[in-house]
Amino acid sequence: MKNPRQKKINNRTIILLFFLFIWLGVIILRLVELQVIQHTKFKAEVLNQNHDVKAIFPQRGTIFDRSGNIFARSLPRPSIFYNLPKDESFESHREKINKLRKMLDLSSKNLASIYARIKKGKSFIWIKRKVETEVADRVKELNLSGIHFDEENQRFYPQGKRAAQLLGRVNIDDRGQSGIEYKYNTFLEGEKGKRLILRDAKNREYRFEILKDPEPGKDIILTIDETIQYIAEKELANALRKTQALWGTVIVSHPATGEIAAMANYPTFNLNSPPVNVSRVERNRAIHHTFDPGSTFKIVTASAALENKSVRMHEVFDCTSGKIRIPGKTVWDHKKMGILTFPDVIVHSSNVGTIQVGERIGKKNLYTMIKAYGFGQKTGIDLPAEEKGIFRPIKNWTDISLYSLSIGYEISITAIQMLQAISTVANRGIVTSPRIVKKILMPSGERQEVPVQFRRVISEETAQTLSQILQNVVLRGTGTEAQIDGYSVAGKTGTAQKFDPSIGRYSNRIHTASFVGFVPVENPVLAIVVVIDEPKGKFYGGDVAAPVFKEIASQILRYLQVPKADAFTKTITTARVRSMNGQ
Amino acid sequence: MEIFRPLGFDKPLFLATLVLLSFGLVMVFSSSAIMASDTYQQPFHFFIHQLMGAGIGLALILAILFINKPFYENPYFIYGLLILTLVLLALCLVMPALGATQRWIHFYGLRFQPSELAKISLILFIALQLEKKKDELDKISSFLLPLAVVFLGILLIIIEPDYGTAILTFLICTMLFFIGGVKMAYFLVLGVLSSGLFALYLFQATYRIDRIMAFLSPNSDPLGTGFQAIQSKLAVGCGGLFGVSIGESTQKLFFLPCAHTDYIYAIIGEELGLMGTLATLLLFVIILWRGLVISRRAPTMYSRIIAAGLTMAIFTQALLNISIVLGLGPPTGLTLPLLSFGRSSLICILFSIGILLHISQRKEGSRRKR
Repeated sequence: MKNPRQKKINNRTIILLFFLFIWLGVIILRLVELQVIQHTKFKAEVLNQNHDVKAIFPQRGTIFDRSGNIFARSLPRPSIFYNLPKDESFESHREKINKLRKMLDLSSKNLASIYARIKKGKSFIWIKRKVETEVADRVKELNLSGIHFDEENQRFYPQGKRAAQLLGRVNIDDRGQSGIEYKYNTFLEGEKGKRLILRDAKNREYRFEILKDPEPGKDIILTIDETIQYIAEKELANALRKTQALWGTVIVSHPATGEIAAMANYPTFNLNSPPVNVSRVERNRAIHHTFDPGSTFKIVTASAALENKSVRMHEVFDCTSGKIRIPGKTVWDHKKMGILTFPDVIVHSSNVGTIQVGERIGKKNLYTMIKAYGFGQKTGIDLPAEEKGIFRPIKNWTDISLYSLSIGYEISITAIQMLQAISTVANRGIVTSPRIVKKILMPSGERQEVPVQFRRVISEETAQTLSQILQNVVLRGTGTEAQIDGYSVAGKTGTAQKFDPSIGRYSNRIHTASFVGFVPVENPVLAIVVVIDEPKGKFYGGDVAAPVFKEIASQILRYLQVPKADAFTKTITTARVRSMNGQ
Repeated sequence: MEIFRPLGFDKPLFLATLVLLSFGLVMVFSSSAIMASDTYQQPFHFFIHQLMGAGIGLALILAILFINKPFYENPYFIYGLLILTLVLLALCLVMPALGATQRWIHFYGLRFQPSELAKISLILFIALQLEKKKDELDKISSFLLPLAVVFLGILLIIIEPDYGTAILTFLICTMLFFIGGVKMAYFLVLGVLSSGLFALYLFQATYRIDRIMAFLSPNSDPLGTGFQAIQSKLAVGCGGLFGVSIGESTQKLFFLPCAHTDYIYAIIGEELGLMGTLATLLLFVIILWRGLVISRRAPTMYSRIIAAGLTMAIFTQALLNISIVLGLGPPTGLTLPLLSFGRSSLICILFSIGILLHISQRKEGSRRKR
């Protein structure tokens, strides 16, 4: 029944089928290749194009003053970024950015960098970071494609200018750049979290998953007292205005514990809106700047003399000529002072007398004492980039080094080192390392106390004697301007000639005026150092720095409600100091 | 004499068709829902349209099953259908362009793609010609008319332009001439002639060259012309053995353009893995098998060629589409029969199935009279 044509059709259908099945076979092989052999690779590529692991920024820790006032805190703020939608023209990108221009107050520099990144084909572009929530809401209302929001943290300094150099700044990525923010960055910053984001091809996020919660930064409590800091800054600013000086710094501490209650610098700036040339004002001169101390350093010379019994208390020194010849030059007093007892040499700050005392002490003893006070070494305060100053080893001393050092030259120190020295005297001869952080609050509620270190520098006897001498400086010597009604003040003035590089020697026109002191003498609550650089007009430490000490100290004493001196407080003092010595 | 049995249609073919159709609906919804809610604020947009197409197509099959006479063998019907197709194809050219192409007829909100119909009408027309000239197949003159019509049809499709359908139509017509018993020597002439024309055509538009180049080295420009090819392979490869499970494709989130139409097979691969892709292939093989069985059992030689042609057309289109999805061929716009979104395509394929089922209803009655 089969005719030849039917047979032909059958044969040809079979031939066709044969080719179709070869084709089918190729397809099956291809499927196996793609879905089995290359599966892992393709899966990874797909994940790569639609998965994104992003960091969740932890909230940075808060910085408090000692009584819980906030110095620095982080608050969530939206940041706006642009995910370039694919296949959109440059013009359409530009149109969108232009719409945001006014709303976000974008400068032409900002715009230029955004356009440059668009042209480069970057898929992620910050438009503006950390904007006001209301501004972000208005941008959201525009509903522009590709414009997205991310929550970041913005650092706020509720006190503005207060303790600016001390606290320091963070950069846009919330990383500490200076001050406490830098030094304690690891504690403050916390740990980043991770989140998984799934995106479609238009770069729209459609699913979030938190892989790891961020760990918020730890809060830090400073030893700084906001009110004391305010007083110090206010009075320093007043003094700087009055004296037309270049800059000034003040440190206030509690001598027994080494806790810094205030650290002020002038000129200063607002942390919330740092000026363009912020680097000029953000240096914390209290610990960064080194200077020749001049007469304040006589405290050290006197310590060495007393400790080594190089002089007797009632021994007299001839200062009648008002000048003394040392190898290569002549050293002058600011006036002729006649015959002075050892204490009066210090009280009237006679260079002539002190150099004779220095000669009696001898190189080695003076060197040992300077070293014991910690000059030429960092005090170890927990702030970044502390300077250690310059103090040459004894083998590098010249013929006049002994004399120069006796009166505070040939050495450069920081204000904090000077403060540490006066605190040692106030503290009956024991030095306490200065510190600025009181506690770090751990998330579990435990508080990590920063340990305090003590070291004896001079004997209690030496310290007592020295205190009396320094009290006399204020009562009847160069520091009378530092007297405070009702309180006994001990202190030392300093007026150092500055080294003028243009003439290659110490200038008698430019000075660094300083005053260090503590109050009350019987039970020191405050140790304060005041440094004022290049005051115009009056330049003596006693005229320029001592009044600042007085203003600051009297206000703080009132604030701390320290009772005026009487027999009762005296007893308490002795008891406390004894117990501390026992440690 | 032949017997017509209304319930004697080929059940496996019908069943395979229904399975593919339902599977297609699911996949169309899965691959288009997000895009549809994005564009039309209605995730069911494409699903509903496809459901309408399926309804119309199934109604058409039902209607065909109740027609006693083999209308598809009727020369008037065939010529009518052919002229209608050519007119519609020509009409396309005066229609407003849609995405730089003119493939659709718009008529009071209705949209129709006549190139889908062209495949059927050309198959019927060629079968008719082969039947008429069955004793003169050795003469070249027998082929002048059919060749001219085929050439005209393909030319109109190329002008649209719908490169994929043109190639498919060409393939189907060649296969039909081959099965019909045309001398091998003629194919040689046809081959030389058509490849010349093809080359000429290819170099007329740069995007065609781009596509070929993109196919040859898809990674040279991953965000440009090679994008679709790469994303399609990624989708299939990502699926692995069992897929990421239905609805979970990430490639359909605008990474893979045309995910619900030309590239639906890639989404099947991603969501259902090798199991899904092989099962789909199996269903098409079932259609091929049943189609060829129907062809063998067809009462007349004429129906035999029609059945074989329609079956080959569906199967070839499936293979061609899948090859493109798998990166074995340059991207061209071709739907996957019964699965891809596209009402014209769906209705025309179901119409073909309807004719196949109708042929299966007819049997040689030998000498028994009814």
